[in-house]
Amino acid sequence: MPDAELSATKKPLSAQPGRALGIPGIERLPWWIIVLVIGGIIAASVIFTSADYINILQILGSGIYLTLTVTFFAFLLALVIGLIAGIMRVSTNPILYTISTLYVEVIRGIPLLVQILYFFYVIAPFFAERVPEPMAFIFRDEVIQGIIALAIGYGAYLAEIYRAGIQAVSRGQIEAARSLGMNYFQAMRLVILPQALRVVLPPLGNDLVSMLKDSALTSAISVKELTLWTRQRSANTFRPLEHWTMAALLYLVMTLGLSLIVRYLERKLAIPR
Amino acid sequence: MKRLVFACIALLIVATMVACATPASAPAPTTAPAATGGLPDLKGRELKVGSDTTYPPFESVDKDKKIVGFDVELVAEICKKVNCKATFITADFDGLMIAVNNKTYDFSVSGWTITDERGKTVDFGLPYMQNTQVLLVRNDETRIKGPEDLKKPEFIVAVQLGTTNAITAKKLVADANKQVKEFQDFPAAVQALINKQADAVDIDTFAASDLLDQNKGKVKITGAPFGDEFLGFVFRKGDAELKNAFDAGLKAVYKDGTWSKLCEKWWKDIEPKPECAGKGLADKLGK
Repeated sequence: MPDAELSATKKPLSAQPGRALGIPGIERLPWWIIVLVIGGIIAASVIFTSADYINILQILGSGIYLTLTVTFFAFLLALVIGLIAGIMRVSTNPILYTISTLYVEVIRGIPLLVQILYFFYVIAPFFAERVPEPMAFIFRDEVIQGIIALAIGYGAYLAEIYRAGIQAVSRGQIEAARSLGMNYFQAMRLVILPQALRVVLPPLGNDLVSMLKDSALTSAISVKELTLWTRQRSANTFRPLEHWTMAALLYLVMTLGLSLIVRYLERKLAIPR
Repeated sequence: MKRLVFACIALLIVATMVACATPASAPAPTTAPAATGGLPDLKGRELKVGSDTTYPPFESVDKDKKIVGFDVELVAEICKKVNCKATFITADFDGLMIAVNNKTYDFSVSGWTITDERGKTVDFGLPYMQNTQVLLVRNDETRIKGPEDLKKPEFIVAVQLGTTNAITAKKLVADANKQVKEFQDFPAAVQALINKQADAVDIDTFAASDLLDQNKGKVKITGAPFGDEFLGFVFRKGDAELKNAFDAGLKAVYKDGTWSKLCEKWWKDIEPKPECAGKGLADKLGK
């Protein structure tokens, strides 16, 4: 063992792994992807040769649908809430500015899990009693409750992303648009937002991935997504290792897939330099 | 330079670990009173008891942030007999058994129903309470009269994750996937019932008493209690020393009337209450 260390220190070139192998450019290979792919192949070969794991995969798989549904609709709603709050954040109207700032600061100061539980225990019962019957189901369905709570929570973060994106567009743009006779909303819609969208796409993508992970929190209010399925099956079978490993792998596959889609979109919409 | 920094950090970590370990490894020898009457002697052992403390009157957290309840006092009384010191620690119910087997806790007392399935994973102590299950519904409910009505697909049952109530509920309904909603604890399940997200809650009869009391005028019991079960302490598979000590201790507190006194105390003003004379346990614990 000491011999190997000695010989390594004698070669100054071995400071870079690529040079040590004598192959130029090898250090720039995305090693983490290769490790991940190899790990994935090993995991897949273990999973698909074991009847137990296939069984677990099938059972937990039924939770994926709800995980993706909750994430999709919550993010859609959060995009709308965020856009409105984000535009209000750059507004010169003091009332609009105050309302949206209050929203952003309050929501960002409360843990998401607490928000979800607060919605379940306090807000949903309040509205369920007061809203007329055909609409009350919104506050009586835990999936919808989870979606709304996640969307309100993420809306605050998205608002800040939109605000930053809008402010990144130079002032001259809006002045030019206004001098062409556009009103404020036309200028926003036709000139500022399309440019801001390119800036905000990477952080929006990050938030989408992180929302997919946070959708696990809705298991606290009995949304039967991947995490709740895992908890339930692990408690009933007393086999936590297999179930939680499978859940972690499934989340990883989903988030990595989503990241790749987001990266592709980023590259497509990137401002050519 | 880098190595120096690394060495410093390593040294610091080791130093912290040593510093942390020293006081823990030298606990003051407690001058606990010796056990009496030919019972096993645990020699003042300090025991960590894992428990989901959202289950009054068995165990819950009171306004002084203390964990109180029938289970807590029963364990304390047994500890007096077999010379140990038990501390209850709060944890999520669905992970408790696994935590006991992982030695996170020495054992678990959390209103556990004794089942054969669970018995494959852990060892149960002697039964300390006879129990049944019951359905809670909203006060104005007229459609559900008993467990057999849950077969109708429009009814949804709320339960706590990982409980025998969850297992029973899944057998009572027509479609276990759609008709059973599982919550982290029973208070959440009752909240869902009140908010009309569920139509019934399947719960252990004697755990229902406190929730009924807290939600007076909102929920009620429907139909007769069903099933016949026993509650027991949960020990690590093969931990005979602790199991035998607590079995002997339980028999002792049952025999001298302490069990009945605790039962009367914790179900004093609430219904339904267990049969505190404890006749149902007599053949198991001896009287």
